[in-house]
Amino acid sequence: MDAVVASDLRKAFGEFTAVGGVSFKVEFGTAFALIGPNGAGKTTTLRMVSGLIRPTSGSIMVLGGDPSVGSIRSKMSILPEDAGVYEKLTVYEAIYYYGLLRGLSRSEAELRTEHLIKVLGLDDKHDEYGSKLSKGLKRKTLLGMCLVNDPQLLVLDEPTDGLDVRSAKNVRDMLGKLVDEGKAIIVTSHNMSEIRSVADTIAIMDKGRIVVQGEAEKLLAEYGSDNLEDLFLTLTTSEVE
Amino acid sequence: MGWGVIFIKDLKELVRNRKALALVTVMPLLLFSALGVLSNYSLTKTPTVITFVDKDTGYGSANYGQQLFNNIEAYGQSIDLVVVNESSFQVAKQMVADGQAVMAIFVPENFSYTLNQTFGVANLTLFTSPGSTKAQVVNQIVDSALSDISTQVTYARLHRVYGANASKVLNPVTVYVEEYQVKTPFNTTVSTPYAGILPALIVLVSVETNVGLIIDSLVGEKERRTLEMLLVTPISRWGIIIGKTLAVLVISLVSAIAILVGIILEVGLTFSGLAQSITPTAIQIKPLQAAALIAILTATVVVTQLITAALSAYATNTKEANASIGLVMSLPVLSMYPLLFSSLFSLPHLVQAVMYLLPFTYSYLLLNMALIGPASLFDVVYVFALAGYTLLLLYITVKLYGREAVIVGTTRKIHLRKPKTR
Ligand SMILES: Nc1ncnc2c1ncn2[C@@H]1O[C@H](COP(=O)(O)OP(=O)(O)O)[C@@H](O)[C@H]1O
Ligand SMILES: [Mg+2]
Repeated sequence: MDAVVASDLRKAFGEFTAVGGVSFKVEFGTAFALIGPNGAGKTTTLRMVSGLIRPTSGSIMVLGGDPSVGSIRSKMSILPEDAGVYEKLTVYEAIYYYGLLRGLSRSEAELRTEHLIKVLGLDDKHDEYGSKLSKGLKRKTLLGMCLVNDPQLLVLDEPTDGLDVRSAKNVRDMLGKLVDEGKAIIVTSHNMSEIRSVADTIAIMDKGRIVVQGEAEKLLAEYGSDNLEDLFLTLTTSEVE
Repeated sequence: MGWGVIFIKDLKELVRNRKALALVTVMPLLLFSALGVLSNYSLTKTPTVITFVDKDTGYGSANYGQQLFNNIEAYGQSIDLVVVNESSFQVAKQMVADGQAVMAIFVPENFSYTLNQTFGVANLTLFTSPGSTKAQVVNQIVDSALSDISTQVTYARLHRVYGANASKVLNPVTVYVEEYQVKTPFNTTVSTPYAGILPALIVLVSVETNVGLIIDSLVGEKERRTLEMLLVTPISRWGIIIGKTLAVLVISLVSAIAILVGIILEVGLTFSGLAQSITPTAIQIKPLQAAALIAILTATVVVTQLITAALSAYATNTKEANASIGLVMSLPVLSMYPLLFSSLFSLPHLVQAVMYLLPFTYSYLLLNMALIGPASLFDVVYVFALAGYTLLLLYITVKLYGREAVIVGTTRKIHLRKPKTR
């Protein structure tokens, strides 16, 4: 069974078509990267995947069901674009409550939270309020909130955006580990070179459509490393025209 | 239980928000006690004055003029009445004409002498303008003071003429009173000018102080970009809205108690001074009454929160929410305004009809019952009306938060430039 099956997803806001028919599959133990410039329709696509908005047409199947159903949702996690942390909750509390919200028992949530705080290197920030954290630590906390339920599917919208080089690499390494554990991951980026190291499959998106899609290695072999970058630039349009 | 987690999480956040907490507790406390101090202050600034001209020379050991003066002073204590001795009735009358005194009283030289004659009728002259409330109050005080003296004189005369026990002559029937209480369920007596406006005032304060909290709780999640993640958890919209409303409600309960304490403080300071009747009255808030007050306030606050929550579904940041909600919330505030001056039932029919459409009117009516009474079957209807509004608003809020615009509405603000439509 595939973790995600999207077929001909389309989303229109009034007259404007934000996503004009995209199809892809994500298997367990792989990472799928949606790459494209700002305004390409990545976030809108992910929102359809997470069941936050309904496609105008097309269908989406997540973990074998409808992503707006509670039982499916408790097995997946979303890190939305520009997500913020709770300013008045500590790192521990934020992760713990998201465990409870996704249906863990108190003791399960406690164990998972303590475990994740160690894994994410947040030990010394255990009782720090969200408002006091640096950008990188906030993102780590958010990842903790996403991982607390040990999700089978992780959907991340620009998880490295705005992070310094070291923090961004931390996040990418984290994702690599999760894939090795057999999770399915969807990740977006507007930066090609940044994300291709973690992605098994890449889809380049522009103006609501996927223009190129394929296994990362095959694409690399076909176009070459530098050329892939060029390909991205020629295939996609600049945000500010 | 999803809503339980939201409830605990939000409560924790709220309790750590010191500024908001201070606002909902200190504000009503300050407001109501300031009101008390203020009205007390204005009362001492303009005391009720009467001028008293006593020409009575007395008769034997009796001096009824002096006794009248003493009686008036004693009865007048409840309204801080000042009785000024004047030697000239002309001057005393001028003071009334100038508005410095409410009444001038003239006791003639032969007052005590005449009263001591068995069939003598003594004269007493009052100079006053009967229109004002103050004058009416003073009139009652003088009446009581005088009737004490009349009784005393009558007893003496009856005894002198018939050697009779006056009390048996004057009261041939003994009346036993068995009291049947048809007042408020709390059996309170309130007879002050403030009592009437108190319910409306309480509604206003509780509404105003609690709007900010729910905005911060709901729109704050949008603004700080935590809402989207929350909406993707398995918790339903009902769970989120109910959990959040209940968390704010706990804080609102604290606020309701602050309001109650504020009222008691105010009552202590002013209600004894501002007596409309002769006997000093104060609201004695009994435990059951306090519980009813808090319950009504709480229900009012919930309705307020839900209206705010429903409206905030359209706002992308707290500033926007505060601006638009401030505007809409001023409607119920404006609707309470006429009630500060007139009772609901004496308003024009059309205005009454509009008032009955607003949930706050039912809070007002119930508070009125709890504070002043009397209780009636209608109060049950009011309770149901308030509960109905709560459920309706809850439903509307949940539906509004189920719209996609709650999520995608924020996107437009992020992408400042929208690509051209193809
Ligand atoms: N609610 C909305 N109404 C109108 N247009 C929208 C709305 N949400 C997104 N869009 C538009 O849809 C396009 C795709 O947006 P988005 O999915 O956020 O792109 P990306 O995440 O790739 O940057 C953008 O042009 C954006 O302006
Ligand atoms: Mg985006």
